[in-house]
Amino acid sequence: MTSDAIIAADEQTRAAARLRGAAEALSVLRRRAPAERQRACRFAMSLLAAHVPATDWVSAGLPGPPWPARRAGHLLPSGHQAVLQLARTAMMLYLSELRGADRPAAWQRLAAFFARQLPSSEPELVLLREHAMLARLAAADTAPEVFGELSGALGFHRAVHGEDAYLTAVARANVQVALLQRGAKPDLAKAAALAQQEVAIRTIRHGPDHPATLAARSLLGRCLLMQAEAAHGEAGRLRLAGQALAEITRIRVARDRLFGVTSPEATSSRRYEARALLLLGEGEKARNCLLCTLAFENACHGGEETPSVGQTLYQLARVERALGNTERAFGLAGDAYRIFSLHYPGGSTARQTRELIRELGAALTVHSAPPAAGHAPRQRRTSTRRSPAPGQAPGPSPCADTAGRSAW
Amino acid sequence: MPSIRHELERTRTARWYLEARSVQRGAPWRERVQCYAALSGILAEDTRQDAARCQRQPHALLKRVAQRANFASAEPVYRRWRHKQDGQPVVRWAGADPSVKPGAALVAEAKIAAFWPYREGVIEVSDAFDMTAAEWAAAYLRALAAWAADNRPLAACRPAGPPGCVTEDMAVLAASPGRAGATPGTARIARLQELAGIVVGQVLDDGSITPPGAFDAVRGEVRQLLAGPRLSLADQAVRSAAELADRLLHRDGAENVMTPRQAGQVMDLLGSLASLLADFAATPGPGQDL
Repeated sequence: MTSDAIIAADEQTRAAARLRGAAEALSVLRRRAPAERQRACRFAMSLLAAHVPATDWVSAGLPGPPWPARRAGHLLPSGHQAVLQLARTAMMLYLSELRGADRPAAWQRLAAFFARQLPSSEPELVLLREHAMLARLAAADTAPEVFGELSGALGFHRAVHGEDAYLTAVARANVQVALLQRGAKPDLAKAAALAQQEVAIRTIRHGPDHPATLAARSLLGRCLLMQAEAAHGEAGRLRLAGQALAEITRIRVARDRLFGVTSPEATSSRRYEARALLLLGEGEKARNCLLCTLAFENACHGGEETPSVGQTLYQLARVERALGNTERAFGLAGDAYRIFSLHYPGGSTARQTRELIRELGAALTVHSAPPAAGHAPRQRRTSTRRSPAPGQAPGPSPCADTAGRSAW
Repeated sequence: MPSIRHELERTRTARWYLEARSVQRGAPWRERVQCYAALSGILAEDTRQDAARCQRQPHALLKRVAQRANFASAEPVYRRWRHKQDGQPVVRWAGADPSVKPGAALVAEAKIAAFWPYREGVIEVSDAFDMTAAEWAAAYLRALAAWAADNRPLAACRPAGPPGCVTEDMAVLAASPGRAGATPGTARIARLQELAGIVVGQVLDDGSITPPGAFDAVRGEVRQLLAGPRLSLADQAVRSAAELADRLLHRDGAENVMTPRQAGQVMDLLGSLASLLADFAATPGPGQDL
């Protein structure tokens, strides 16, 4: 290699490394308010436009660069690993602006864009396809191809990195989330058994309070919770709900410390805590827990009506119904329905929330059509009645809590 | 943290790097880059042959670097990285300490040169988004993990671990505004350095780990080390409530303090909180403020 060729290669390596450093820094901004996330996305797009020769990023599912690009000295091919990594970061930042239902397609387009330029065995491409499947899971899509793709990714990571590798563990967890999401009883039992194994492996490898272990523990807690919600006998339900509550609370405390109380990780644990409390007949506590969750979600998402806010409102509606505040529950369910209809129109979450509204409407002896938008009249809390027996509580939640753990 | 860029541009390594790469010294720097590239090539080759070998410093390193970089003999390479630097246009980063052997000095410099653009990428973003100390540390350590993943043989080469500039950068971070009153300065710097080493260690231990995965190993401690002086929860609540009341009372017509839905949620929360507080206030306790 001539000296000039070495210097040219070094300049390209430096340009790629600079993008890689910027991509990691931009990823940290995912925890900022939505407006900041969008600004970070525009920043990422301007970097891509400056470093990659004319590329149609809109066809890749991303927004176009915000201003005409000033070309950097050393351009990178659009299939370069550093370009893919920055594009993935830009997509993560951009997605908060999209409806939940549009997110899987955006990931698919990005994956398809890079699939045209990279071999199918490229690990980064496998990760992109996993992202696309996780977005479908978040939209409660449990089609066979989602399972197929996630299982395929698990096989790929096993073969390439080994059974104990980090990405293999993440892929295993994604398959467990898919099983949970499908929610059939055998799936729940299988997911619980797998989650138990995963917790044991990660605890030995990382310790009990490592974020990766907490993600596995959270899955296990969720399995317990869903098994409790699906249980027929009251004794079994209370036992499982008690176990779930104890574990989920420990996870939530650790997440508060690691990620902050307003983080999505901590708020999803709070929502599970509330579900367990409701099963245990602690309606008032469940309500307080969910009100805190809403306040923290507002702090995190700047008051945006994200699908997770819809889930919290749905759970709050269930709690209010259990406490006998039917009218209030009706209003909350309407709010949840509006959010789900926006993010996942025609999706199972919207459908099942509409079912809740219908039941509440029947109880109120008002017409059962769901409110199109806005609130039912809000009333201050007047009742302190305890919740009915858990057997009378609604069945498993239809809501898709945050899907599998992304490796990024 | 608006001043951190300025501080980072003034570290010893930053000044060394700027000077070494300056236009006037173009040719000497190009030759250095050739040596770094030769070193990376040798380490990658050794790793392919025997993974354990990459953790040692290769035998007769300077001679092999010289051969690979097409120098006539090892002498020009040796001269660049020996401790006596008389007449060298670019002085070695390791300084004049005779205990640092030329091979080690070359490896240390190659690590810095490889990591520098990752660091520049982080600084560019952190500057544009006025990152907090905790965000900056997360961004920096993730970029460090990315460097280790992209330059595994170099990161693993003895002494394995982060490039030398990380020590100085962590010192800048630990001294950044708002950190006074937390863990004492020197202890914090030392621990942040150790955490950077742990992040690189995670990458070297598991070839598949991602930068956030590697950062997760130290996330809690970084957060703890860089948190500002903590207010009690009660003080935080009082402060937030006072600020909210103030903004509601004095808002001008255009200011959107909150939406009606948010106002409803806060009302609900405060109602529930009031009943919890009433129970708590009625409970006999230690009587001492936290």
